[in-house]
Amino acid sequence: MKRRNTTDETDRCWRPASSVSRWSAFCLVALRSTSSAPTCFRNGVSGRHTGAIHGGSDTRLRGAGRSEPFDDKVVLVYFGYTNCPDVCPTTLSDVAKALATLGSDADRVTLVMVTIDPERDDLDTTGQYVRFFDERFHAASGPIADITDVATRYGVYFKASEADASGAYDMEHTGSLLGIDTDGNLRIVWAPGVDPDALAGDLSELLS
Amino acid sequence: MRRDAAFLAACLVAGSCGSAASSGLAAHDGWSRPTPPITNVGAIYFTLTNDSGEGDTLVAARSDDCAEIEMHETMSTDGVTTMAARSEVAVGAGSSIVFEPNGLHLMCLGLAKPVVDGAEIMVELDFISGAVVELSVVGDDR
Repeated sequence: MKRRNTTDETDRCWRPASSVSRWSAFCLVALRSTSSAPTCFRNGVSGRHTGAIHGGSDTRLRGAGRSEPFDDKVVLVYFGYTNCPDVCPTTLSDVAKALATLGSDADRVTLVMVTIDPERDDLDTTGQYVRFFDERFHAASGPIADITDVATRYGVYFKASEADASGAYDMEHTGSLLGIDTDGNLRIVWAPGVDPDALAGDLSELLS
Repeated sequence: MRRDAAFLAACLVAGSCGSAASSGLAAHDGWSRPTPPITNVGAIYFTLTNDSGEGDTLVAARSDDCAEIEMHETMSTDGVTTMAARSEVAVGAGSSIVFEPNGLHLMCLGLAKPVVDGAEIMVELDFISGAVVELSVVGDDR
């Protein structure tokens, strides 16, 4: 397996734990090989009209709708939830703003929000949520065990807070935005609160 | 009306009627990001200023447009974001506090209707001194 090229990394780049192989860290949206493709979605994480992420059928997000290859796209992955009042909508809005400044290049960028709260967020709910911010955004959901598995491979942590008397709860989670370049490499992790203009600049770099 | 009367009575007893004008407290630049109809939570951001000579503490907020409002603070450590409930937010004499994205905010639970760009939500802020400050919040995707 081709090793990850680390020579062009900056300190913004996320390095997977050494025990995490390249393919497993990137399998959600970024797997590029076909013949030796691990079955990244064998656990059944599914997505709305995202279809083929790459590779064979085992590497497709499964869900209703058409296939939309992400071959030449920079893919932003965000783990969030729809009952999130502050950081999730802020991030999605900022990504939409960044895309708006990219002009036609924005067509080569997409975002997938993986819900970390499938108990309240099914695929349809998550899809409606993300498309409010930008029609081009995609959603992914699935059984909690599968989401946890994928999140862990991305180095993403999440946990539900203790429910209050009314049963309401929040999620604590890694609020970073993950940027995967057109070669399928996870290249940039943006901490919450990234400026849309800075994000647009980084995306231009990933697209060049 | 009844609440106004009760408030007047309370502040007369307390000896310092804390209207926004007389308390030196003001809340301005209130805004809330438009919310997807699929969710019923939102965040309210604003700037709280205290021009008086005494500190005060924000202890509650309410609005006809929210079933409940909680004070929250988003904190990020090593990329992990947590939202902690705050029972009070102190604002010192002559100082101001900014409620802003990825930081302090009012969480509106049970939105009566989605926050829409340009639409206004009225919020009342309750202080420990008894002061009640009105905050105008405008839907704005800034």
